Amino acid sequence: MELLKEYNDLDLTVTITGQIDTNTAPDLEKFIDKEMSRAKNITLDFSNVDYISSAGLRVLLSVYKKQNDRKNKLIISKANSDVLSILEMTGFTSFLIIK
Amino acid sequence: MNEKEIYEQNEIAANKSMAFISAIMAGILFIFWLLCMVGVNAFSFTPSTIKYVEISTPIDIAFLVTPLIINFVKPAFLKKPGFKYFVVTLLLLAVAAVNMILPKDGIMLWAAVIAVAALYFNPKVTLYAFILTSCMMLIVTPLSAIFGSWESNVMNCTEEEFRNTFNLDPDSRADRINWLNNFNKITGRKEINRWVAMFVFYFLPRFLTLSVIFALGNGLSKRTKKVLEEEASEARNVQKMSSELNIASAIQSSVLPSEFPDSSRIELFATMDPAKEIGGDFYDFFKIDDDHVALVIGDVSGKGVPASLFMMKTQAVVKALATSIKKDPALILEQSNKAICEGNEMNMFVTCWLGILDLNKGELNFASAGHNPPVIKKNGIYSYLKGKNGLVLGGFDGAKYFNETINLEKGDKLLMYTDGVTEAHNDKGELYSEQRLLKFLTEKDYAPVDAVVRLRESIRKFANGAEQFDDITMLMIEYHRPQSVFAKKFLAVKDNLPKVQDFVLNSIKGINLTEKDKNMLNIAIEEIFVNIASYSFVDYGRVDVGVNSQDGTLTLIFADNGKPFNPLEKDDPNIKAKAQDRGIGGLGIFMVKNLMDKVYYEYKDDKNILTLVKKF
Repeated sequence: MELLKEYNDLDLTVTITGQIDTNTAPDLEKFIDKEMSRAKNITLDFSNVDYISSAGLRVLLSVYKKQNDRKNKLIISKANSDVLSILEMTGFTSFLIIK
Repeated sequence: MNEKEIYEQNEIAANKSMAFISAIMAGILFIFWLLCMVGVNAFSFTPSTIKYVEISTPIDIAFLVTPLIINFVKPAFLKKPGFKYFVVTLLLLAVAAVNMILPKDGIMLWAAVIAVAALYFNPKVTLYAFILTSCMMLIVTPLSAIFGSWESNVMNCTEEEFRNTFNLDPDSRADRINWLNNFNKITGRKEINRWVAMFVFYFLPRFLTLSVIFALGNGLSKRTKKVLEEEASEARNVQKMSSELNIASAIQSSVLPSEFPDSSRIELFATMDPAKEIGGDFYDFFKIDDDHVALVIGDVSGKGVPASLFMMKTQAVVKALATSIKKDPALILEQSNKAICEGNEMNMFVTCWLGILDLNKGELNFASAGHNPPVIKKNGIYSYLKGKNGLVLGGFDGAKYFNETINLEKGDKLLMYTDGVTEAHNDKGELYSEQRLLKFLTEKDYAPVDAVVRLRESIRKFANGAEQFDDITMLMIEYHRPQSVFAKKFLAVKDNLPKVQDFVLNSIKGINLTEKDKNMLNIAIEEIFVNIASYSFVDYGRVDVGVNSQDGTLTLIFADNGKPFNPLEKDDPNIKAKAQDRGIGGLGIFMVKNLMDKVYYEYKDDKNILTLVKKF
């Protein structure tokens, strides 16, 4: 999995390429944690993601909770229908901002 | 063995024989000498003759045993071309010496030398013996008159008469010479010179006898030489032909595959029985990929080594093109035809039938180049699988071929064969024929191995001893269900997840999965497998993963012998809860329940068994 970060003022966009699974999810979490202190709103660009398992969902939940505590947003952008169906199935679409 | 070697061998053998004959003669002479020494005078020798015998005989014996001594001491000499002349000369010298003292009794010995020389089957040697013998005889005859025992024919009177009438001493050399020189003067008779008379009346008749024996011996030599030559040439031809045939036959059978794959999806057996003269039948079967097998059979026109070489080229070409083009039999035959037409100076051609079978779906695509239609068993009935036939391969570049399709189901069979089967004939000239073949197959159903063997036997019985003119080639397949169940054990560690996912996806047969299907399936596998790897075992354990894809339904089974745990017992996470209240537990199994149609759990035989089912 590849991760690219891009700042627009203090808003961070992380472009994820590849699968978010039990092996790569911890890397995603670490990556975001590093930027946490600096970033305001965080957008995760899912255009190159076609696979997310429960490990990935846990990371999303954890990041969301942290963002929420700091009154910042977590946005999921350009997720494809496969990923969206997972997010819907597990009720994640009810609190994540989907763009 | 070539001619030269045959002669050389014969010559060495003859040399040995001559050496032994000479030695035997030496033995006889020895006995003769002993008797003389002891005083037995069987030939009524005069005392001087006896003295001569006493001295010369040992010398003769020495001559005669020399060849044998050489044979034992230096056998290599027997291989030299001059040895035969040497031994003949020695023998002749001994004979001459004997005839010197026994002119009358020794005549057979002169002839014997020539006859014995014929042993060499060499006209040159026989001629040499004849000429040398004649010369020796010419020299020895007058000498024997002087030194030898009394020969009344030569001296023209008996010993008594000589002694009494002419007052000459038979033992005196001088008297004898005198008598021969002055015969007329002494007897007063008017007769021709004794020497001339000796030549004409004594030498010439014996010379004639020798000539006859020479002619006989020579004729025999020549005849035998010719027979030996013919034998050698025929032996060479037979050897050459049989080694040629052996090589060709070995090449032919080495290119025909004999390893029959024991796949659960297809059962296959084939034989090729060549006719006496190498023919050009071939068959082939090989996997194009995991799920497709190619079946080929063909028959080259003509016989002999050219046909079998052409056959090998065809087989190689078809295999190479089938492996690269893969699933278009007509195109494969078209390209094969182009390759075969190239350089086909001898205008050979080959019939060919090519089928490509999808082992999972049972779909058989085939095309034919002038080959007899195979027999197919479908829905329990045997019939001929006819399709549009293209021209034989090797006809002309650019010939067209046609794809046909048929679907095989479980238990369906296919028999490919060459016309060696249907055109096998019996002693009455009847042919085995397509009808008989169909009848044989219909009568009783056998698995491919049995069917082919029994069919071969049926043809042999039908032939009833008639000669097999053509190769008899058969390839039979029986189609079973596509293999649908796969199982593998994995160590329950997270790192094995990709391997488990690959195994499951590769084991799914007969179901078309979209990318989304694959991703969703992989997510489900991840949730289950990672769960087991993380929690089931204290240290490490193993998981059996089973995959069954049948009729569009996929069944996955995960069995581990870790601590008993039913993941379905857990409550589903409340997906409607607010994020802050959301827990992370139970999410994975929840996803699996939603991704699959059915999920079961049971604990059996000390194993946690989780079953996932999805219909596609």
